[in-house]
Amino acid sequence: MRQAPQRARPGQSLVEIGLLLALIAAVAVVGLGVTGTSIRTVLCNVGRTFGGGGSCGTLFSDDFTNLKAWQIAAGTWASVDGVLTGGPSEGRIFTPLAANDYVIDVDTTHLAQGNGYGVFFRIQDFGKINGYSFQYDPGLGGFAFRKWVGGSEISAPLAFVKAPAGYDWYAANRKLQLTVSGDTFTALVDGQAVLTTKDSTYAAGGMGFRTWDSTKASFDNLTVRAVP
Amino acid sequence: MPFERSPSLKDFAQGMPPKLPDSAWKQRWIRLAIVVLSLVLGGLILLNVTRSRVIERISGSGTVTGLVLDARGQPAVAEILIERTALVTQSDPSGRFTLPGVPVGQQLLVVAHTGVGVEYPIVAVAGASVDVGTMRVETTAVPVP
Repeated sequence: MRQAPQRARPGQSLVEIGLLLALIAAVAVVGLGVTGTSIRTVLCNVGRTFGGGGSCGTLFSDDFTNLKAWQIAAGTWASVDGVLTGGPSEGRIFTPLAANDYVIDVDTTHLAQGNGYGVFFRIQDFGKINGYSFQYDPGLGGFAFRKWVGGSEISAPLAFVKAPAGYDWYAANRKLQLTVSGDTFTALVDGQAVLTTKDSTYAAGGMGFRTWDSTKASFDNLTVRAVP
Repeated sequence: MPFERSPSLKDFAQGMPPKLPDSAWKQRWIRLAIVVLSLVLGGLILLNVTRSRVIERISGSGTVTGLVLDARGQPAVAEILIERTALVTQSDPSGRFTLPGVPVGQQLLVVAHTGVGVEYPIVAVAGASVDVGTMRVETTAVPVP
């Protein structure tokens, strides 16, 4: 008995192909989330590869010609000749950030008087703050990372290091860099690593500046960029 | 098969037609890929859930009680918080507090007074009241010696 001519079998259904593509996309998105990689950064870099303009790295920058991007939660803050000035007394000023991990660069910081200033990061709720601060702190005699819970500063710092003997807290302008990546925070002052610590309580939030007691401090040329 | 679609002798005028390539193997691979990717996605979602606080919420909650004293050993009115939750209460004039709804497991309790907080690790037990004992307020932020 002769065999009937073979007919082409039906092809892959569109439903199965669509499901396969959707699963690939879902695995990519959830996988990036598990590894902590920013989807925004990945998509931005892909866009740049295909000829898109702009910089993926910069999340926020401010030369402090005005304070429109900032929320003053306490104290006295002003833009003076394009420089952010704060103090005296307890002061807190914040700006939101749309990223979990970032590098904060403040080109110029200056402590004119008082016991120090702080740079907030991963701050949630600018009223009763939860998050962290790095503190340039002659009052303590060194540099510290602190945790904040419900608007209160936790008494024991996450990390503290004494400054070198004879450290000039007031005369010099300082360049400050904070890297906030996963559960690890690193502070550089004038390009030198001074302190690093780990904490996993808070995973995201904005940044800001702090003054306290008789502190008068100024800050200029702020850039916040994605962690490379 | 309908009669109209049955093969005729003309179909075999040139001999047996060439064997068509078997496209079933492509279908099998794509379906295998769908199954594998579904398992991978399920695993990643499970990993995300275990790393979040969803498991804690599902496991239930307990009550935490304690006593807050100041540096002189006197009862203190202070704010009591559980980190990474919205749970907050205040100790009464006798220094005592009760905080219900604390997620089960290891938590960090903070005793806050005049803008300074002290962390205490605690363990909450589902459906039970745990007395965490006496805690002291701090009034200054001091460095680790």
